[in-house]
Amino acid sequence: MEPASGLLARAVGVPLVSVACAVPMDPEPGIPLPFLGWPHDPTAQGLRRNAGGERVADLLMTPQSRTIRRCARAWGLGDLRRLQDCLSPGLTLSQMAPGFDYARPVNGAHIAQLGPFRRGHATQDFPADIRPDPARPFVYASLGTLQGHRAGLLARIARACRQAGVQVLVSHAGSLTEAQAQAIPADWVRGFVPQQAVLERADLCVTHAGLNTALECLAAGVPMLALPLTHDQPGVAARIAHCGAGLRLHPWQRGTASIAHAVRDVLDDPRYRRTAQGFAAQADGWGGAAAAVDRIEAAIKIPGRATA
Amino acid sequence: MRAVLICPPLPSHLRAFEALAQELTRRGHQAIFLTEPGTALQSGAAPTVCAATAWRSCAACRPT
Repeated sequence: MEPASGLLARAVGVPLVSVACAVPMDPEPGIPLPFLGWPHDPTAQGLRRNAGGERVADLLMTPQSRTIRRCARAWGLGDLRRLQDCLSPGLTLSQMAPGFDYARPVNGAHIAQLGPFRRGHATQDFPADIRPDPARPFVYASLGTLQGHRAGLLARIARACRQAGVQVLVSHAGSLTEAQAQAIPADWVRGFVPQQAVLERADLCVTHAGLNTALECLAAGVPMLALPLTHDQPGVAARIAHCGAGLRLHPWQRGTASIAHAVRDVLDDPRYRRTAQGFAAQADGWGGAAAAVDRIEAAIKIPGRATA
Repeated sequence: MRAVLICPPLPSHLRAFEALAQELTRRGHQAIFLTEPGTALQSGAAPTVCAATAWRSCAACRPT
């Protein structure tokens, strides 16, 4: 998903494989750009809306487009203008879990949905100093590595969980000062926790909807309440809601009462957990990095290695 | 096979590419990262890291 790779591979004439660590950028009718939380909508109205989003995105990405066009012209690569033009037409390796992304019936045949390339550390122990009451729901809240500094939102999530009558562990990825961390009214606040071990015990994850966390939740069968903040998080959150593994809240729905209400909604409706557990039941079959390399070897025809 | 891996210097992307690099090297392939200078790779099987600006002159990346 880095346009330099597509440009360089074409320039030196070597095979190109794209890797979508986040939501794939590959165009598909009805699917909005990854950083938009719009629904999958292949109707004429949806296509118009997506086209409008792409026009705005093209405008915002003008400096990148200029660079891509300049390199493409200088190296005789034809009319390449956007990141999407630089992707591999033959093979994209996606970390999406099968069934999590929107269907891509038109242009998606070359996208291999393999699940996370790097699985969590299941061997890590649940923190000994955190002892949730088994009689009450246990919620894990994290805004990821890059957004863990949002002390105000973390505090609001903690207050909402208390209002909803659940226990909450907040992880801030080491992004808060001690004073900021102490001001969060959670049952437990930690800089870092072994996320996989925590998810194994959690009844719900309140998340920024980073793809890695979302996939770890699905692998653990934990439903999600998504509060997307930036990058492709709106797109991941929309897919969480679409597949039924949780709910997402829009930016204007992040008040304490709204979050508390949504926490209760996800916990009280068993369909969200059932859906997440359905993904977890399939997780051992996600191919991950091994399947990714199988695909690469098959694509460039390494003898004796190729698998479908 | 010699694979050049190009990815944005973001932790979540790098960790995924490191897993890919480890699997490539485990199978006897060579994986070379082409990324920004100073990018921290955590992988134990750390492949060669090249500055993007050294593409034309880096011996590790030059096609043979």
